Amino acid sequence: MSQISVNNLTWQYDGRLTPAISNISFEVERGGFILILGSSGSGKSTLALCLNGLIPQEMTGKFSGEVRIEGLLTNKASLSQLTQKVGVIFQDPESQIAMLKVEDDVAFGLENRLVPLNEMKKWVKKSLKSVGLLENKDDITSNLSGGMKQKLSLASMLAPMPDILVFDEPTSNLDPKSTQDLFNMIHKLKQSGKYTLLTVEHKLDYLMDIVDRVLLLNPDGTLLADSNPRNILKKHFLRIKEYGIWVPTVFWIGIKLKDRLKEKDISIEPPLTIDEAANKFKLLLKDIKDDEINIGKKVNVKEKKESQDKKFKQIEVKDLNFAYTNKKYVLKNISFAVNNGDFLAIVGPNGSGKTTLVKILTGLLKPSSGTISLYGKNILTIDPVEIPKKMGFVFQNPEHQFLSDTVYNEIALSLRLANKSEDFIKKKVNNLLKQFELIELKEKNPFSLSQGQKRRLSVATMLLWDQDILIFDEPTFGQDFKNSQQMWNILKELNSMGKTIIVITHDMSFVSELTEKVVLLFEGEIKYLGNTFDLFQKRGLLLNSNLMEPLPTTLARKLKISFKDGVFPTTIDEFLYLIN
Amino acid sequence: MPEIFFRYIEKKSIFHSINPSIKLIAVLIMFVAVTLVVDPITSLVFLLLVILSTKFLSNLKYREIITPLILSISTAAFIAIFNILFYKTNFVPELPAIFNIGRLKITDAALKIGLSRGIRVFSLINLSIIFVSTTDVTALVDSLVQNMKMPYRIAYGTLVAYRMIPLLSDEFSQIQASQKIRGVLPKKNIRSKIEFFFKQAITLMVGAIRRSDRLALAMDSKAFGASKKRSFYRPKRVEFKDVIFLISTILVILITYYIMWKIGFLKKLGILA
Repeated sequence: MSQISVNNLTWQYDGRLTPAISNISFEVERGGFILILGSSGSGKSTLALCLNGLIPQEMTGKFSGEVRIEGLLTNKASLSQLTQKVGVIFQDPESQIAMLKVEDDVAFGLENRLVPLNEMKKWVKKSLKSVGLLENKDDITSNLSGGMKQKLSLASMLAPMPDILVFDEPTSNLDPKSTQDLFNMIHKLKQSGKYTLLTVEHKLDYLMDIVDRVLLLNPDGTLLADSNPRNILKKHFLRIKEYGIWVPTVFWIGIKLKDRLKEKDISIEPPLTIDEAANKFKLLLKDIKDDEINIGKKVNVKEKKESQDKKFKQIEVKDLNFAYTNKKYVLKNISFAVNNGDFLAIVGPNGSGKTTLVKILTGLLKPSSGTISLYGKNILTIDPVEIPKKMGFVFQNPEHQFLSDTVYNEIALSLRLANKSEDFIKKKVNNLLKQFELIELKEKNPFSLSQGQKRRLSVATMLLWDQDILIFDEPTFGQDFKNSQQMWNILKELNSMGKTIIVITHDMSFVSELTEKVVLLFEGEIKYLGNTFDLFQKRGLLLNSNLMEPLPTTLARKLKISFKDGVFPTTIDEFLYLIN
Repeated sequence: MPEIFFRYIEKKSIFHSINPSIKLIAVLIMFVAVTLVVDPITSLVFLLLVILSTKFLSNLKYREIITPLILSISTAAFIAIFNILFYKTNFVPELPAIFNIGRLKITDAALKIGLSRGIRVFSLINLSIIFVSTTDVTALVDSLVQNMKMPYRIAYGTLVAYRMIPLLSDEFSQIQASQKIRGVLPKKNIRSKIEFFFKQAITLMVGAIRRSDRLALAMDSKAFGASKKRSFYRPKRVEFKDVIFLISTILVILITYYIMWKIGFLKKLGILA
């Protein structure tokens, strides 16, 4: 008997016209690692909830087919039993923790299952230890960082000793360091051999080496394919691309390389993992040329647009310090300038002061000392109503800004408040709707849009005043490949129109591929200020600041290939140029 | 981040060690006892008892509870002054004045009522401060479920909601910030401001409802509510010392009543006075 057996599973939520998932069948034996892939809205999370019985037992809708977990029917067996066998770790660290203290939260699930006190104590200790939170057992849960909260959720799920663990995009709200930590933990869980793991995840680069099998879902919630990762990517690459699903970066590089090598009649199978890529490309390098590997000169693929306009300082930050009331300084001695047309990234681990810095830049917070000048004028002397007209800011969570009942009104809102004529508003809003492919949706409620559409709407609402400076907070966070690429293109286009773009981001491939300048914040201080390419050559600095280097750099390092002056490529194109 | 001014202060003391449910009952009894006293001198004696117990039984330092203390003093002072100045007997022409403030006549009854009400309010707020500062919320809920047979689904459900409050207030300020930064500010009339507030509240609610859905799923995944009973990670018992504490509270009240009655201050108990 298989450990999990799913037969013709169909589920339709009440009030929806079509099923979230339909006709899904698969079997899982003990101990595997299964990756569930699909575009957003394809029913990945729904599938996860079907496994521990919450669907259909706790939700209303139409259920057909059957799911058995170690023989137990999920629509019949008690939830206490089912949730004990299948632990689920969800996406949002904030809404999984029930109790005020770390230890109590781990005990919570055990108490509900009537585990006696002395066993409870043992299990709580053991599971906290396994995620490295034993020292924090008395901490208040709301004070933990996002990464620690996810570890706590994992501990709470491990405590009742499940056989199956389901991760539903567990890292999408975490910074790169915490993501890596959690992945390491998942690696360990896999190696222990005690668990069957099912994961919904789109950051695949550091996970592919343990994936045994992939379930690939169609957007309509049916199962397209169920096979090993190599087969899936080989056979269904076009579909995967069409659905906007992330693929491992090395696979992407492999595909591009394959195209380029076609002319030379060399064929290459795109690799799945970093190690595999290193090995494959090494062979390739031997094939083509064994003379010298340090070839060429560093190419500037991001060909700088030669602007005729003179550069001038739009924003200047001088000796900025900031502390919240009588606590320690969050920002120390910050000085930098932003010129017109810059494409600047502000990077650094969570808690390094990025958001505080931007709040000061936009006048939401007042500096404790130091000055911010906007076009040469101290920002504190500018009327707060005027700042948004000079500098647009797109928040991380688009929903926070939605106040209107339709997409059209949402964009029109601030123009109406500024008493512009309806004719003017109509023209302006319709242009923006067209530019951001939202015109068909203009009568829809903003909250009912998809993730990617919400993002685009929030960018559109910011561009009303033709500001020359635009600031984005995590514009690509937690989005699928298609929406992410769309966002990249929007930002690139805005920048090429001459707008200054400032982006706060954790996404190093974004930083390396798009931006020209970086401000690296660490514990409230600027650790690096300069051009993007040079930052990624400083490996020690990256390590010390908990930043990941871009994958092409890692790969080149492994292959021991570099440009003539000893620098490593930082973008995919640079890498390809080098290897060609 | 503004501190919530009523909060638990973790320490070791007699008050901290009493079973939370018993402590709650004792505090409620004390509430009733204080409320029923009309006479200002007796009220003052009770206030003294409250202050002494804070000093000797709670191990709290005054600076730790200074914010709520200031709040309670100002509330009490306001109530006292308001009653002394405007109590109904001041406006009865036949009654004699004990003194005048401007054209306002202050009668004997107004002075007594004012002082007694002020002192009682001060005592009541102080009692609440002691209770909140010496009682861990989780321990209170644990104890209510285990010792008072409160249904656990309701109790822990409430506790989770309580945990969400700071998150909600955080989120609300983020919503406000994102409007401000976008240049979306209400017009300068009250109507526009109210409308704006409600719009933002709806935005907050949409997020809150989604969050509570997610939280409910996560709790269900931990088998919350799957069985009628529950085991307890932090067992709470009513011990001998708790019973003694409760009895002593009642005794102290009765003895105070008796003495004050004997020496002639406490003539009657009343709710409306």
